[in-house]
Amino acid sequence: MTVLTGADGQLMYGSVAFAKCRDWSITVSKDALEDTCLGDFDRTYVEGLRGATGSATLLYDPSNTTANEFLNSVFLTPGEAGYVAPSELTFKMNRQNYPNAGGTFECTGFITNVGPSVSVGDVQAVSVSFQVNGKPTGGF
Amino acid sequence: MATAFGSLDTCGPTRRSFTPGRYATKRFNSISGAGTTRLYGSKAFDATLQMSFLLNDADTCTIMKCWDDAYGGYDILTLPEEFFAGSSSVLDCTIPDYLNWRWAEPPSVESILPGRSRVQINLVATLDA
Repeated sequence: MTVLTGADGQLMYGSVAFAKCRDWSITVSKDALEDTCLGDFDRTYVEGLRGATGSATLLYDPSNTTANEFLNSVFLTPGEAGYVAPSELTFKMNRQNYPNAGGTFECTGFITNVGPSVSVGDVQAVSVSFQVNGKPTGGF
Repeated sequence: MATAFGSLDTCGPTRRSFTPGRYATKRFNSISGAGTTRLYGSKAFDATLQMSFLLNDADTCTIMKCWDDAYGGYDILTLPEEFFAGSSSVLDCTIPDYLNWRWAEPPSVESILPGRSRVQINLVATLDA
């Protein structure tokens, strides 16, 4: 049995990996539409729409232009100079494909939340929330 | 002639609301405030039945076709058993046999995702001469 650790994880923006990503998460959810009929005693459901959100914490590096371009996208609006959309993120649980491929989730979307934090005795980090636009691909 | 609903795949409505009919009465008040109430008929009429369904496209089409087949509120409807799912025979007493169901309003279709629609229908039970 092979158990992966955080060292096997990776977060990529486009084709470039974030060098200083502390953590990431992605949540894929699907609506459940209740279609229980009168006369039933147990609730029944049909599958609804799928959606996904992601989040990550990046350590701030002023010299990392790729990471900063990603973070700065929250300040830009469509049509504005420098705006790049949609942002493509790849969440990798198994970046070395060991022992088999899998554990990669690719999606596009946009940042919904950026929260830099600074505290004494700790590195500066930026928490990011990401709204997936459309269908995420990949899987376990 | 009555228009029948086509066969539905659904097991029944997800919500149903029934209001019994009212009686033909009229209140006559005098100047003093005293009055009398007259009854002009012994049968209740215009009971209403409102139902909501979560339907696939085929069932939604069946509902819409019934509206057209009945020419809206013109023709009498024959309601399938599924419409009264969850209602025991004891409650049959609430709907008199002498009433005829008709469309009260056009069916309302809310598309919520591919292949699924929330359909609401409003029926009225009329007392025909």
